[in-house]
Amino acid sequence: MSFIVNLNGKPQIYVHAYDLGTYGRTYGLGMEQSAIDVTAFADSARRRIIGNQTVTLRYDGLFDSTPGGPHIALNDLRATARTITIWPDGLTANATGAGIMAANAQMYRPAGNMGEVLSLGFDITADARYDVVSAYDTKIATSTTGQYTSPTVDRGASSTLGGCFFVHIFTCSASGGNARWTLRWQDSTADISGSFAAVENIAVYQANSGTILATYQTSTGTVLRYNRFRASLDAVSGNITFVAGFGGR
Amino acid sequence: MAFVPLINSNAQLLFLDSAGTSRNMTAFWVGGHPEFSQDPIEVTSIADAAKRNIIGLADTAMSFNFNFDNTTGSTGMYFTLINMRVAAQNGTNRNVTYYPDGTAAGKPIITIPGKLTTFNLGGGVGEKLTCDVTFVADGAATFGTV
Repeated sequence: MSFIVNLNGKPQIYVHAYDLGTYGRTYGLGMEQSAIDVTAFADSARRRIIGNQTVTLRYDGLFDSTPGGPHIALNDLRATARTITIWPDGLTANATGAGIMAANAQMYRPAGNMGEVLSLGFDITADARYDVVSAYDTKIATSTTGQYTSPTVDRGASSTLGGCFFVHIFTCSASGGNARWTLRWQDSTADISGSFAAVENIAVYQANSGTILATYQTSTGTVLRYNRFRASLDAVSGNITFVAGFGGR
Repeated sequence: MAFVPLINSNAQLLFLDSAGTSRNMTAFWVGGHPEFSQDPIEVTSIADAAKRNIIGLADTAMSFNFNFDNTTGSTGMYFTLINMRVAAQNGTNRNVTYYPDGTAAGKPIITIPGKLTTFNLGGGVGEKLTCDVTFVADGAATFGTV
């Protein structure tokens, strides 16, 4: 058992291809679902079912208008719905977090008083589901290996409710061959000595050289118990820096 | 006469996970207790000198605050809460079990069938990560003894 102090790389917050961890000072992530009263005459106590889901994210941090900084990131978020992932425990193997498939900044909020540093915050309005992201990794893969495989996550049981694969790509170069990287979310019924048995690809994303973005792919089918993701070079040489994770329902 | 200092697991809180196992959340639990209510229905008439009420529907409000624990795996706090959220979406209740005075024989035990509606994480720089969780009750709480 260990608790988390918001320091030293915790949390990590990625908005599209931007890393807000360097600037963030406070955050609040809310995953909510409404309750609908279905109490009838036959009941002695309130009865409820679950309705719509809502996700809220409030962020405040330091203002910076340089390339890659929060002003650029949030100004983009005002105009275009982007993929966001939040990792409360930072980037450690098998860390858990939340992924929001598509969100706009409903508010762009600079603030500060005389003598203070200018801050910049936002609140998001999500336009899609959110998923719990149960693993991540960040990796620079080189042409000498051409492949990276994440640690395996044991989710305890398979699920018929599907899920979502989230990817943030910060740099991507590939030359020769098909000049791309392929990122896969994979599942299996067994994990024997760290080797997947009967691997299935749940989602596949191909990033051409020069791709810098965040994206997601959903799956509506069964997700087996053991999960991982893999990045493979589909070229002669190249590098990729990315964060990925997968979430279930 | 014996009071209950809220230390040393003198009160305990458990959540039922998707595998049917009760997960003890006491090690993370900072605050929040279930509140049990019964709607008063006023039946005062002209004949009365004071308000008259009868009891209507029962309800339970549950909001808890935790220190977020980063234990990974299907038995960890995060997975437990997420599985409870999914169960709620699927229309399945997950029991919240509350021991206000510990788990010794004869002590009170209160079981509430609930659905998780809110799961909030957050905090400021240099602060600990905390987690607020809210349930709605779906049915009557059961009051008993261990």
